[in-house]
Amino acid sequence: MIRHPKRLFRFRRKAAIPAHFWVAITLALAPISQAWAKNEPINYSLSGDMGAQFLTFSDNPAHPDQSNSNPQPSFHLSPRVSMPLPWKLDDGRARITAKPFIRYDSVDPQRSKLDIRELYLFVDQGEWGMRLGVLQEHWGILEGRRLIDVINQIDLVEDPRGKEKLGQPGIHSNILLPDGQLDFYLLLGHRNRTFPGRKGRFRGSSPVVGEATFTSGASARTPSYAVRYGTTQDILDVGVSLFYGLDREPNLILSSSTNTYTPEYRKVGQMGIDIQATLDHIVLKLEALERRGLKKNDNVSAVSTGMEYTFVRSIGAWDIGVLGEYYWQDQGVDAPSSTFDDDFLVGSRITFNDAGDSKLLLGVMIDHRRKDGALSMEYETWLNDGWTLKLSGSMFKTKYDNILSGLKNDDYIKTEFICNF
Amino acid sequence: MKKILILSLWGALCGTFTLAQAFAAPPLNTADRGRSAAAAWKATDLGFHDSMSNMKIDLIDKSGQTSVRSLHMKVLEKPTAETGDQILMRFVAPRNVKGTSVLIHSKVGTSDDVWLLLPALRRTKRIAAADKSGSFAGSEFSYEDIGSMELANYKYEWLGEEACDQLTCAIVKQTPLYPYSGYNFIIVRYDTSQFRQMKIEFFDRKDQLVKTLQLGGYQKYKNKHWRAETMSMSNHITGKKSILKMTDYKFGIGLLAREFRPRQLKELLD
Repeated sequence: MIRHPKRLFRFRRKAAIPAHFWVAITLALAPISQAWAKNEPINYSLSGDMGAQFLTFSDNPAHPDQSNSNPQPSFHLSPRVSMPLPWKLDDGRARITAKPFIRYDSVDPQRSKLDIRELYLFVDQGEWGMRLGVLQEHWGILEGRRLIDVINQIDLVEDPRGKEKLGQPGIHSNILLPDGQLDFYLLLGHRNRTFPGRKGRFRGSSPVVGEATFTSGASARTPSYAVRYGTTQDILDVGVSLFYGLDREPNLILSSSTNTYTPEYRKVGQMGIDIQATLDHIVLKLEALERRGLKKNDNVSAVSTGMEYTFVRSIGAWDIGVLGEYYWQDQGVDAPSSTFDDDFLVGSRITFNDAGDSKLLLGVMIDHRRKDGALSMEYETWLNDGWTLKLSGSMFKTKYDNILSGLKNDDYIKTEFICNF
Repeated sequence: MKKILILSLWGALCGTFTLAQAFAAPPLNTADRGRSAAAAWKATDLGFHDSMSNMKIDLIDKSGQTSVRSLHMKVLEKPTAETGDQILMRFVAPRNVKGTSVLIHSKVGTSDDVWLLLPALRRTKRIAAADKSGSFAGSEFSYEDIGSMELANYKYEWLGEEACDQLTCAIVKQTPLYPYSGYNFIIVRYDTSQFRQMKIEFFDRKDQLVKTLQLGGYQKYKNKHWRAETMSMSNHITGKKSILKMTDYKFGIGLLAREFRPRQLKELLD
């Protein structure tokens, strides 16, 4: 039932890639078109994934505008093309990589989109490298919350757990040092966080649909800067990162006249650390950040800690891991609030080591302060060479009226058939 | 008659001397004999510098159902005496795991360091040392079977010799000295003419024989380095079997140490 085909794929103007990137990419592609013209073979690699996804809910939606469609089917396609550039570099190489992501959702038009996850020119000179274009960069080590991960904006409508990220235009340069690695980022152009639309699930009673606004003299064109130093010392992996620019986390401003939220982004400076200690049996993890805004009351301090222990070959070939994580956050009244203020996660990861490489992750997230929680599971197994079945689901339990209570009817099971090619 | 007596006395004296000599320098003890067999094997490996090969593992279950994993493997010979070989493996097939990579830094005396690259998450994950007795890619090989066997990581005991195929094999019991091995000991058969590993039996923490590895199809590279083409691992408890085939060996490629740095794993995605 496609009523408004034009609205299926929308490119928000503010999300568009700056013009100079297109110029750079076109210039980079010039040698390829030359090779094409001369009828020389073009050496490229194509990979990627596509899939069909069915969201099945246990209840009817809680809010009036939400669609009753159950299950909610959607499809995605994300090819990745990479090819070497015939540039003459002593001891180095250059490649160009493109990875678009297309989602068509039959229910929520906000979820249907074309996003450029990656599109960049990569020059590798061994001791240093540079990426120019649209990038993906994931920092952090914990399972339940990516605290310090700040380069890419969260694609929340794609994945309510926040594990999917939008492509970020910018330049990334990395330098190998004898003891570690230094990464520099110049991030050009701000991406707005995606949210479920009026018809979509996984939202509160008021949808986030307003145009993004910016405070502290910033705009969607305000660049952000980041630097990270990472090093491995024996059992320790340590990273220290600095970020200055637009916070990826918006303040949500409720407009009582339209009963919708408008996201508001602000400038911040932040410092983060991530430490993993890989002991003989246990892996210990720590992420911490201090984020300062320009106002008096918009500072954020947060710490996440975690551990994982694996019982190898405990039942037959099964590896059974137990994991525990704790998240703490404190913030000023003008900073975006987080549900991860005093929460813990207890979970188990089972690797079956079977022919289909089956894996199961079970977890309970409990909010100590608000007395609510979520039970979640993820299971995946190969169906054959190329196809993978993924089952995941969550159950939400809330006692009081709060952020999670908007999800009280959104207990779901997601069935996904994914083809890797 | 006198001459005969002197001659025989002379002969007896000679025999006594030989005997005395034998007592003065007793044969190598079992530990040294075992170690020297392993050392002779390792010596054929010295100086390979680096290698590249394709690896295919057939996973065969009890009912004979087979599933396949294909990997590309790069090995860098140990850069220093304290470290072992460094191994980088990247999945090529099935397509469900294409790009997933494993980096192993073998160590002498302590546990190996192991990192996983998960391409879907663009994330490098370091694994705890004790986890290396776990299954490698769902096969009967564990991470520690895949990693390089370093001489100083075992205590040796020579158990004797026996015929193996047309060859003679030294039987050596090797007890791991590194922590968190999945085995109490392994019994390795080294062929005494070319010093190749022909068969390894793995005994678990209860001294029970759990797995047997048969090595075959040996080829000699660069006139010195033997490489088995087929490694067949049978699990006696589960009845499962994994057959690992190595092909397209290349040596002396000039791999760089930086390719084996954990932070560089992400570069494999480009």
